[in-house]
Amino acid sequence: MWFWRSLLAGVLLAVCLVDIAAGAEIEISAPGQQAIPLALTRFLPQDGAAVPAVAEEMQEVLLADLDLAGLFRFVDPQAFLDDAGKIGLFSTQVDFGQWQLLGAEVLIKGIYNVQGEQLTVEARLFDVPNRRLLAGRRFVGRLQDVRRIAHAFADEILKTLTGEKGPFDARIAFISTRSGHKELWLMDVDGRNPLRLTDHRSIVLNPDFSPTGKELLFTSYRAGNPDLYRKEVFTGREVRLSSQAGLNIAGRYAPDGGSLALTLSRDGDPEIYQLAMTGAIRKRLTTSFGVDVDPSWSPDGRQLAFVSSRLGSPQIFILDVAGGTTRRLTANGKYDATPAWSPKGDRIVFARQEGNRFDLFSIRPDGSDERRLTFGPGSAEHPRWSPDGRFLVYSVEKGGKKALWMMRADGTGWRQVAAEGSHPAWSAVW
Amino acid sequence: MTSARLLRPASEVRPGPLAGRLLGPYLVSLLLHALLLIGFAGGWLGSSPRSDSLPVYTVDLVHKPVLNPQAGRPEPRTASPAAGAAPNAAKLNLPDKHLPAEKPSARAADSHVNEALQKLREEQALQQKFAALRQGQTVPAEIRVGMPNAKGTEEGVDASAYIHSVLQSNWALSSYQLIDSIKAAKIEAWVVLTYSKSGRLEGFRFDKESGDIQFDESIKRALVKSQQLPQPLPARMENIRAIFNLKEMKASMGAR
Repeated sequence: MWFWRSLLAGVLLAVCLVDIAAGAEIEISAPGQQAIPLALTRFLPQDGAAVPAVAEEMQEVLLADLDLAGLFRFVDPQAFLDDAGKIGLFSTQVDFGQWQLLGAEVLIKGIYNVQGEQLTVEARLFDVPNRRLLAGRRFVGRLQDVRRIAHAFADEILKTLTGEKGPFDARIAFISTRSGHKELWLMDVDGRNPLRLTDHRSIVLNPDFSPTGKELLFTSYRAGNPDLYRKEVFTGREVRLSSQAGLNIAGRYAPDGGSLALTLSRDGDPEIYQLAMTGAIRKRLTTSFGVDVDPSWSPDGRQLAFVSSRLGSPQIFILDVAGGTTRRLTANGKYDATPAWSPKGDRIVFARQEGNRFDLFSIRPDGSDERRLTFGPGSAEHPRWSPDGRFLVYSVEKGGKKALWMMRADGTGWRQVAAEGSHPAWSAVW
Repeated sequence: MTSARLLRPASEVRPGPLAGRLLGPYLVSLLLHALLLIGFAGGWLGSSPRSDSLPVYTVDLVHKPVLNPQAGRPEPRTASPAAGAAPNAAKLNLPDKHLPAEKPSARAADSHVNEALQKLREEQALQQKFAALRQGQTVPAEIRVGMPNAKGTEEGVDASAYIHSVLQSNWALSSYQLIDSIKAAKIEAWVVLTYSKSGRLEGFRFDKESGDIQFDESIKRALVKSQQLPQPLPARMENIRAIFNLKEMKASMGAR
């Protein structure tokens, strides 16, 4: 009996000791501020004459990029004290007390210097509570590079505060009719500096950037048939990659850049094929009855999301490229189209027709957690991911006119980036 | 074993000598298994005993915890010479029969001087604050404490709830900072803190880091901002374990 008593006493003692050791415990299950208070000061001229346009553009671009990022709550510039007007860029020169008083946690300060056509910008990101420098960059460029410099610094800020570089110093390819024909165009992420890339005077569709961002695939009716073309962005060189009879559409680079997937209708029924970068057919990937279009690679290149009408209405399916097995991903809509697999691999965004318009939805690759991202007005189509998987660019059709819009991957922060355009594709960081 | 033996009533079945010897160990094993089960259920054996289901949290939209609400709603702290202009001015405005009535122009001049003095005092107070902040000190809050309509007899809230409130309000983290949303939903860091009676953070150490540098950095910033509590504590608080996680942000992070 003594054995049982001592065993019980021992267990009780252990329980008591564990409780005593734990001590007082506080569980904080969410931050009190779910946005980082950021003070963005106006960039100041280092020496020589002030060029207000430089400071204004730096301010405008940084504000727009960082606002889209969603991380920050901006401290009202009206409340800034005299440190905002001081040039000091070393942490010993910054009056952190003032910024602390304003509740700022991070601070952006910078200076610029214009010598003829040359522009030098020094930008700094400070941690206010710890009174230390988080990131500093010196950019040298031409006067017209000021927006690009601001985008590049916004990317660095995101890298410092999230561990992953932002996608703002990149380009967006899109289709526009502003020249009178549907041509391929290129613009900055904020819609500035549009540049026409093709002069086919026909119909150009569906661009896709190579993983390096230096090449583009697109379909053009230049030769009368929807053929697939490949274009080098910097040299402008262009080759017709696939000109099989029938459709040669929706070409998508594999993540390793060594092959591509596209839809061919050479046998009558549109099916998905894998092509080498020479244009030679490597493998037929689908063989079902019904239309198979719009392939989108998983980041590891092992699977493809695509649209198929094999079961009646168009739905999203997932294909295992090596095994050839297919499974249905979406089942809730009557017409699902244009899937795009996130570069992180965790979600697939697609357009779904409801009534007489499309809206964007996202879903996990296992078919769970379907979420609606857009709620009109207008028809939202052709979603594509930013290279970091944080944002989406897509087209919205309203009153017969298509514009380009952008938003965060969770459907927040939407904004128009170009008043005219469709079929966008976001490049890798430039 | 025959079917006749199986059909015998239980009362007639006697344990053999071998079964008798095994009964003790069986009971010990049963008891140990039961204790193990209780231990896991009670959460003191497992390393991560918290369940994954969304817990229910109390959200106080009206009252932030106040350390000493028994103070009721006192007047602001005793006016310092710098801020004591109002009572003096009130005293000066009392009617005095022995003094001749002031001319309007003199009054106007006085009011200008008072305004200028007031402005100067405010500026000085601001400079003092800046100086304190430059030296890394936290400026104590000069706000009223307590609850509206309090009688002064209410019990104070728990000091750890007060620390919880201060730490939480100073903790700034955006869900967009955490790249891996699946990992972020389970992220957790444990910090052990010691606060002096005066409300000064004497030290902290990470018992368990989260593995996410942004998450840990945000906690460090919150601790630096909380190095001086706005009010003193009833006693020194030693080895408070603060567990930082994002249980209440799970839903908003799922879509990314």
